[in-house]
Amino acid sequence: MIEIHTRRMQPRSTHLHSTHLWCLTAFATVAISIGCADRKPASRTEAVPKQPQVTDTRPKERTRPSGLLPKFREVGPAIGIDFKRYDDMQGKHRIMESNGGGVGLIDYDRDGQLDVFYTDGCRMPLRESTPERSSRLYRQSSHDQFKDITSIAGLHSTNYCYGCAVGDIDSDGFDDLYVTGFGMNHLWHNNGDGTFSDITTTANTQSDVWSSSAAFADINRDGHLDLYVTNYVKSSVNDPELCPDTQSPDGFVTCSPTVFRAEDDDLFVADGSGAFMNITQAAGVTGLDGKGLGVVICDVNQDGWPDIYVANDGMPNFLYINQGGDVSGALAQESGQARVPQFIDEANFYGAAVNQQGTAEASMGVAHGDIDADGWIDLLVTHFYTETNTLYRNLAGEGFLDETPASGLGAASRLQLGFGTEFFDFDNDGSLDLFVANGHVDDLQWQPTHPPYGMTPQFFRNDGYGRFEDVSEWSGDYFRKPWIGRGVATGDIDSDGDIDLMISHQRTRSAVLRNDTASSQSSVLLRLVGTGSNRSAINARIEATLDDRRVVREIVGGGSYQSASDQRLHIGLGDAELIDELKIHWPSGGSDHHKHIAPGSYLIREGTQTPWTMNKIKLNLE
Amino acid sequence: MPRPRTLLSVAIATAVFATVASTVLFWPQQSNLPEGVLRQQYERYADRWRVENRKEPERTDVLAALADSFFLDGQLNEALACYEEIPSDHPVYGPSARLEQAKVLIQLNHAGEAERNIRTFITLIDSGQQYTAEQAAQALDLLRFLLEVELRFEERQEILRVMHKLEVNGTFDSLAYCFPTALRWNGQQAVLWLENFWKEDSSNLWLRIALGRYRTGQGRLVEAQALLEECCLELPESRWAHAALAACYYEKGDWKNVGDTLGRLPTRGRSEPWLLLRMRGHFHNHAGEYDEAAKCFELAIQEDPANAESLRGVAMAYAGLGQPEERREALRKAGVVARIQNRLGWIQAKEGDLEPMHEIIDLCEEIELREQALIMAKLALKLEPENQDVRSIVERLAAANPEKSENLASHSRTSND
Repeated sequence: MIEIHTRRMQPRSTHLHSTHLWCLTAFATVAISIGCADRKPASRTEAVPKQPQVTDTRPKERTRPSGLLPKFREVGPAIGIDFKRYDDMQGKHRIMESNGGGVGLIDYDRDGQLDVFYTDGCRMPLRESTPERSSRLYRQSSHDQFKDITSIAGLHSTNYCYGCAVGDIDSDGFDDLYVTGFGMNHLWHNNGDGTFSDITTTANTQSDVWSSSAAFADINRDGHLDLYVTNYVKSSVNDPELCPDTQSPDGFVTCSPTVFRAEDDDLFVADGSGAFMNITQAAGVTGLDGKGLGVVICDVNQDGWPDIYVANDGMPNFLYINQGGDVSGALAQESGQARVPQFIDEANFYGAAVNQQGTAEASMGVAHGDIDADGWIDLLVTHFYTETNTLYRNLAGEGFLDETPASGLGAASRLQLGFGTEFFDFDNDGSLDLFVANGHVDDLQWQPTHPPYGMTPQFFRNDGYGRFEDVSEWSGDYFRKPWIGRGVATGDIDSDGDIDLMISHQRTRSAVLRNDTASSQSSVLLRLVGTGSNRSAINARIEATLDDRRVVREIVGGGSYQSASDQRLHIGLGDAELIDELKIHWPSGGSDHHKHIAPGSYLIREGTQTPWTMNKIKLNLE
Repeated sequence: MPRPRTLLSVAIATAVFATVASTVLFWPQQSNLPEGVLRQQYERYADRWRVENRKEPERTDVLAALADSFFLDGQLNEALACYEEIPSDHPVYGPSARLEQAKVLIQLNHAGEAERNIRTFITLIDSGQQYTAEQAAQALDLLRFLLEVELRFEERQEILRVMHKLEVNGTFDSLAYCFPTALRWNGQQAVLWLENFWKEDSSNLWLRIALGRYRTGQGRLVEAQALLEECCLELPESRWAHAALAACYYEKGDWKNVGDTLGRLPTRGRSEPWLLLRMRGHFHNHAGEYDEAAKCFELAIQEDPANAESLRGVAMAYAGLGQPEERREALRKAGVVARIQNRLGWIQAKEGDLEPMHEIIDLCEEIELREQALIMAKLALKLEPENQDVRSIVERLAAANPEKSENLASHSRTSND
């Protein structure tokens, strides 16, 4: 901002060099010839007001859209989930306080009902023990009733946690947990008896940097789950950088991530013995300037090899295309059975690094799904205030095209700051709709031109062809209030055939939104179990034929922001009565075919001919 | 001895005479003062000037002093009234009055009038009137600010060029000069300035076009479209208005109206607004007219070599033309520009931090932005004159880039539609 000074008007001697005079003369000639549009003189007014006085000319009311609208109801406290994240906000606006946490859906006891895991912060400096704070595991003991069983499960972690990933790393049938944090990550092995053990060190998955999201996937297709961890920025563990601001009531504002150095991500490959090897460099995961916040592992080009998409904050995103195969040499020999795939970052050339304006945006969360029913996985990345969330449409595996404007998702997101996000079918019509959790990273209410801190979340209804309509204000009370939204996970919590929402907040209790949409259409819920493939069947892809429609879904690693959604595949049947044909492409390379699948919940093991109807098995931990 | 009654009569008569005389003598002068200026104020400043300069002040001497004082005290309307009464051709105060008037007008959010006064100042000094280097720098900076708020980047580039030549540019001026469209333009503060300007002069076409563009950048597309369609109706040949409207439709994904809007203009000329070039390029790409798209984006890149949008656009065109190597090269450059952008944000957040500046120099060299690299290196040297490494870089780059080729835009921009 310029400073306008006034001083006495007595002229001083001219000191400009003759060259400068020439420049000014030349400038004057140019200046006179340009910018001479007709302007009417302004009327004289009072002195400029201190606060902006701008008339809001936006339409005050929108017409209620036609058709079935979503209906989500906040039920957290009623069902026993009352988690409120602790971020140790003490007025210093440390950058690590602003990222919030994640939420994971996991059926840790294999009773057929989803349980919920929230990551929590702690008091800083980080080495201080804060035993009263810990990430939380809520077990669903019966329909819609949850109980905090963190202590029973032994999942007590007291560091500053951020994200989580769910996957069965040892193929014992019980999903394990990887929890990221500031300066400390944890790999929690599910013992199968209702408890977890911290095997971080023995499994060689430790990290002492700032980790954000994580994703399990079998990147080398050896049947074992591997692990990708996004790391954010280099920051001091015990003495975080502060950004003073004399105008802030606290004296500080949150530092921008632009002034921090990027932290490289980590790629761990399972060696088959229960441990992992860090193969980041060897695998070609060498992207520069990555400040990773979100990650999704899916097969974007359908060549059978999972690819890794990383959302980087303010920097170009990465799209590591899996080249398949493995590298020979010392590392391969040393790793024994571990195959080391090769990756090449093709984000720039695939068109998924930046938006169509060539700008690297904030990039927090990643939603994935075939939003235009063309059979290819598309991606949506959430961004900062005054940026749009960006929709990358998959061009049949040859690249991505930023189709944000045409999708209807652009303008609606300009004045929001998005974090966790997921595509899911809210009404079982077969098309993927979109939820975005919003909330700013700093409380700037004291600024005259401040953006809001809490923001309303958004829900967009898909017309089936990849065009979205904002139906947020009709989606339930939750959507009309501002929140500081962060992690998002989706899944059928109440086993009623539709998808519910879990949202991790900052400063307020996290939300559990039950989907109460009055849809007359049914769904099929598939739990896939690998045998030749990784047991979690991550990166299995299904193609379902319903009447004249084809629905493609993939179980992905990661997704959203620092969160883990239900890994069961949900297929809305729309007007169809059943799935005529279901083709499953397993990560092992094999495929199975099934026919005539009626609405319901099924378990399908790789290589079997008949889907099993899911029975609920209760594990009594009382 | 006169009687008391006589004395009283004389006193009354004297008082009446004095009142009448002062009214006759002084009334015209009171009514000649600028609005809001009291006679006593005028007299006080006249007396002060008289004592300081040991001669009788002229009216403009007093008005100039009054104006300064009012400005310092925040009495903007009074200051404005005084400055307005100082003629531009006054040999002593003319140019200064226009410049100071411009400052007051900006404070009062009268952007159009402020700009006119700045340009008048420039005209005056060009005709030989006296001025100081500081005044020239201030005038350029004020004009730069107004053009920036109004998103008139092409004209701003000319101003920055002159500031650069006169070496009155600051750090951010250099960043804007090297990377005119890489810095964020739709920030809250800029929007607020423009909205306040527009409130005071809602008929100003430049302000309306800029507001339309800001509304587009805020996602308020209904308002943007209404504003800009009105501008296009009023000035059917305005390339700036049509460019902004096309951008609004582009944001909506409404290709039909993008095409219709562009179709109302004459075919692409030699000199076009940068936004219009990009919109034309995007539309041609969408229509599969890759040859035309490539031409538009190549022109845009000539004007603004560090515009990632144009680089990505031309890459798409090259793909359509079956030129994979050219495509790859354009995308490579676009990717590096994105990393430069991040470091620009770093410098803005932490002014004086030289690390990102050094990295920008390296990144510029990586994609042959040699002139930008040299300017950034000189900036780094200005901030760190004892750094021999930086000095070596400057010398190396200067040897490879003679001063006369320091010309980031090949055309003089005009906005006469």
